[in-house]
Amino acid sequence: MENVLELKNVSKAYDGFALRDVSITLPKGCIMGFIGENGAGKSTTIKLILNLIHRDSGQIHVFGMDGIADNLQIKEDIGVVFDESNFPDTMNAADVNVVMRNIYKKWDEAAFSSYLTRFSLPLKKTVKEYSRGMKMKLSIAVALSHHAKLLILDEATSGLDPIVRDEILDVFLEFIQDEEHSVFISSHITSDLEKAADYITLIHKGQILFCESKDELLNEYGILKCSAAEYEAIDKELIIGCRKNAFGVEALIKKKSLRGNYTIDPASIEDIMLFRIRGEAK
Amino acid sequence: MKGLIIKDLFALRKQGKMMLMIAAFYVAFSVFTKNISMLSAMTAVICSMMPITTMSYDEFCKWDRYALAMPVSGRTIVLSKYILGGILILAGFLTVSAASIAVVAITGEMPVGEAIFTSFAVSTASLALQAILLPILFKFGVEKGRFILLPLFLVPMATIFLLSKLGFSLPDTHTLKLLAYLSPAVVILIVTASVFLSIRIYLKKEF
Repeated sequence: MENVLELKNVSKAYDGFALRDVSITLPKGCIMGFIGENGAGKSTTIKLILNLIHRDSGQIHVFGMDGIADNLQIKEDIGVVFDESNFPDTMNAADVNVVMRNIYKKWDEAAFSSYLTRFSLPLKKTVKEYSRGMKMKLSIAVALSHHAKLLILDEATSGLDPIVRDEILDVFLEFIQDEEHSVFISSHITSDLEKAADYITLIHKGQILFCESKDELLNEYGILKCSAAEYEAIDKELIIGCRKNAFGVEALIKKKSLRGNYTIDPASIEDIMLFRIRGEAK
Repeated sequence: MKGLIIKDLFALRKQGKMMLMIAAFYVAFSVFTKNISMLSAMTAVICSMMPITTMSYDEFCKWDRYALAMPVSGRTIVLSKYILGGILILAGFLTVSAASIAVVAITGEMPVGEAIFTSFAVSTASLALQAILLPILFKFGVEKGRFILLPLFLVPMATIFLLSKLGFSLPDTHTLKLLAYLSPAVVILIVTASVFLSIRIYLKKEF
C-alpha cells in the first residue's frame, strides 16, 4: 500500500522539551488518530509535517515528495485545520472565498459554497460574530474546498460540543470514502478517534509509544479484572500497566496470549492510552 | 501573493473608512490653515503604519502559520507586506497630490509643481521609513517591535534638535532639495536591502 505520509526518525529539540525519533506512517485511504496528553508533542509533530518549524534531523515525505524541497506543491493538496480560526475578525465567508481563490490553484467555489450551506454559515456575517463551532466549520470548509488529498487536523474537534463534533466527524468519514483521500487528526478526545480512525498513534513526552491499526489494538488488548492474588500468578510479560485498589487489580493486558479463565473487558483507546502512560509498573 | 494582499485589504477595510474621514478632515484643515504640510505628513504616517496594522492582526489570529500551511512561501508573505506598503503609499501620494493641487489652487500657497514635489518627497520618505520598520517587526513581532521603534525615532530627532541647539546650522532649502532629488536612488537601495534582510529573518522563524 502506498503511504501518504511518512516520518522517519524525526527529531526536534527545544529548551526543556524534545521530540525524539518520531516515525509515523499513514497509508493512503486511511484516517490516523494522533493521541497524547497536552504538551506531548502533537502540535510540534504537525508543525514539522507542515514545515512550519525546522527539524533537527530525520526525513518527512508527503505524497512521496520531500517535505522541504516540494513544500509548495505538497501544500496544494493538503487541507489544514488548526485548533482555532486563523482569519482576521473583520472578514466574512465571502471574503474568504475571494482570498482562497487567489491562493489555491484548484480552489472550488461551488464546493465551498455548498459547505457553507451545509454548515449553515452565512456569507456576510464577520468571523468576529461567529461561535467557536462556526469558526471551526469555516476552516473545515476551506480545507475541503480545494480538492485536497490529505487533511491534517490539529485538535480540530476540541472545545466543540458533541453535536458539532459528530457532524464534523461525519464530514471526515464522507471525505475518506474516496480512496485517494487520507486524514491525519490529532486530538485528546479519544472517543472521536474511536469512531473514525483506522490507525492510532500515541505520543508521550516527545516519543511515539505505538503506531498501530485501531482494530489490532482493540483485538490485542483487554482490561483484566482480578484479585491481587490472581494477579501475582499472571505472566507479567503480558501486562502493559495496572491499577491496584482495595478490591483488586485492573490491568491492561495482551489478552490473546493469556491462558486461563479470567474476566476480560474490551479496552477502549482511552484505556490503552491511560494504562500506557499512567499505569504503574508491573 | 494576490490572495495575501487582498486578505490584508479586507482586514483593513474597517480602518479604511476611518482613514477616509481623517483624510477629509485634514484636507479641510489644510484649506483653512492654508498649509498642506500637515496633510502630507499625516498621510505618510498613516500609509506607512498600515502594513504594520495588518501584521498585528496577523499576529493576533496566528495567520502566518495558516498561510504557510497553504501553498504560500515565507518569501511571498514578506514580499506581500512590502507590496501592500508600496500600494498604500502610492495611493497616499495620489490622494495628497490631488488634494494639494486643489488646496494650492484655492490658497495660492505655492506653485502646483512644488506641491506635488513635496508630496513626492514625503512619499519616498515613508517608503524608506517602512523599509527600516519592516525587518524589525519581522524579527521581533509587532508587540515587542513597538518598543524598539520608539528609540529608533527619538534618537535621530533628538540628535537634530541637539545639533541645532549647539549652533550647527540645519541644511538650507537648496541642499534639502538636492537631497530630495537624490533620494529615489537611495530609497531603492534601502528598500532592496530591507527586503533581503526581512526574507532572511522570516525564513529563520518558527511558527
